[in-house]
Amino acid sequence: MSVVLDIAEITRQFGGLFAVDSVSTKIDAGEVRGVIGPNGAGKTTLLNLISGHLQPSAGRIAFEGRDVTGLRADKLAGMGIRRTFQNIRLFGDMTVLHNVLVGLHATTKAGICAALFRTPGQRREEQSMEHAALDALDRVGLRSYAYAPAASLAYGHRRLLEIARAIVAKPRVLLLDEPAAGLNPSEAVALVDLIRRINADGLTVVIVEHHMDVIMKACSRVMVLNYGKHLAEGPPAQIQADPQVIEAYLGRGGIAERIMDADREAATQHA
Amino acid sequence: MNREAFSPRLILLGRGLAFGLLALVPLVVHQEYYLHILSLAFVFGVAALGMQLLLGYAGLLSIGQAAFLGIGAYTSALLTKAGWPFVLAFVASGVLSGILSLVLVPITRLRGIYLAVATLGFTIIVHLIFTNEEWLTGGTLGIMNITALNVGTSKVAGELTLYYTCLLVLLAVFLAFHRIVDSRFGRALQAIMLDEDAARASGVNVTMLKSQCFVLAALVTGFAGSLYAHHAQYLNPNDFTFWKSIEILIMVSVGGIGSLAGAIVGAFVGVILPEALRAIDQWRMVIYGALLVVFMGFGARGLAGLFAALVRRMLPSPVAAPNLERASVRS
Repeated sequence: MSVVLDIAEITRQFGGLFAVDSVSTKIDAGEVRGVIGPNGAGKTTLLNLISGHLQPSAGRIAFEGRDVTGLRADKLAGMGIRRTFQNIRLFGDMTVLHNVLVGLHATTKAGICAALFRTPGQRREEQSMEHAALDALDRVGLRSYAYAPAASLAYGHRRLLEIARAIVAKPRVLLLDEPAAGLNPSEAVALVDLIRRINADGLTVVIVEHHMDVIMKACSRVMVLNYGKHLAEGPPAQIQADPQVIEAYLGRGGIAERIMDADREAATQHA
Repeated sequence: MNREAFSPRLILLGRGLAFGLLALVPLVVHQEYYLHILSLAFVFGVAALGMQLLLGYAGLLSIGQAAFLGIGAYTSALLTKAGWPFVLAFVASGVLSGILSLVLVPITRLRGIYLAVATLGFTIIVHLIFTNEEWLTGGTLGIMNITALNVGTSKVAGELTLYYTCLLVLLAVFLAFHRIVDSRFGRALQAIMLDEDAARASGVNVTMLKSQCFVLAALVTGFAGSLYAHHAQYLNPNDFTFWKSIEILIMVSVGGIGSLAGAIVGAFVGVILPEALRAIDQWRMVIYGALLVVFMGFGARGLAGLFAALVRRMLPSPVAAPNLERASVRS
């Protein structure tokens, strides 16, 4: 399989703190990669480094064989790396449809003059944009809300809208930062289903997540960060059983195992 | 937003009616003074539209608009004095103002108050240039006897030429902006205003778009400046201090941030109200100031928001009902 994201010894320092410390991993095309770790492990920082919202202090990132280290976020978005945010970031005053249309900005080109004179090219582009945006809303099941203001959506729907905005331009990689945070169990199940469908279309997905059942069900491979360092990596089942991982999450002692068992039980119940 | 609250046809009708009435005013009103005041309101309507694009659509708070107004005004005054026809001088005013705004492109990356202070600095510098470069601007004496716009020979014909020229420019800029904000460019600007990081993540080149917006606003403010010069026929550097920027900002705020039509209404209020209060002289600015406080009390949506709320109440079901939900949305 071809490598989509080749992350080599990427490091990000904030003052004296190494938020991400020399992390390396290769993410294959078509993979659904989970990134887990305790709070403050550097998961979101890693996502910000990949998406270009933060610049690395050291290390390199290659996207489809091309070195993209240090490129701006909008440039990377145009190349096909899209993301969502931990604390959902929509354009609240704009309609649901317009939110998704902004996601098409980098792959369309009509400028001020085209808008002013409503050239045939501009009108065609607007039409195909609207078409693509409504399609994306269909994918996430929000089409009937297309003309409502984004701020009026319920919480779970906002998460879905953010995903629609991120996938509308048919990117190569989708980075999801805690997509299941705040979702109820049935919404979380629907989210996993959506991620699988998106992935089936050939999109590589990277998920930062605390919900272990979402990680276990959606991901083909999981990596664990702890104190900014790459701790472990492998298929979900193997990671879940890794004593190092359990220790990082829950510390030493008998209580750790008991909590893990309870977690697993809860996961099977949800399923 | 407010402008989405009514059916497009109704909005179009209302706007067509408003501009139509303004075009008919000179048939009824023959006093040159009133026409002169209205023309000035049109001029500031153009400047307020530029400010609205910056503030209401891109979230850029500029205190530099007086500088661009001044650059447009001096350019037009000097070029027509040098024998250029008005139309060419008018175009040159906008273009030069737009080009000079490129100086500020590096600071458009600043946000909020930082951008406001930086553009304030620009206004101060440009004002100093107007005051001190006597060889070009006439210094503190300013420029007198600027060519009047007149297609006829009588003074009345001159007033009418000015009136319709200003109205035409206002209408053109309004229609142009109306199209521009309702496009890929306009949506991206709004996205930047609402959440810069999310805009960036969606592939919007934030710095580039802010710069384009800034230049576009400077361009139309330069146009307004050109009209201003031929309206006043006399320029003084003190017409272009930062206070003028504040006045334009007040117009946009009173009219309603985020509404193009509101910016024009705000300009009308900003120009006509102080004139109307002239009769009570020393209380004029006190009352004007107090009214501003009251206006802003209606909320950030200004007069446009107030109007939208009124119409929504007056028009029952078909238009208002589907929008009740929208109206209650705050973000």
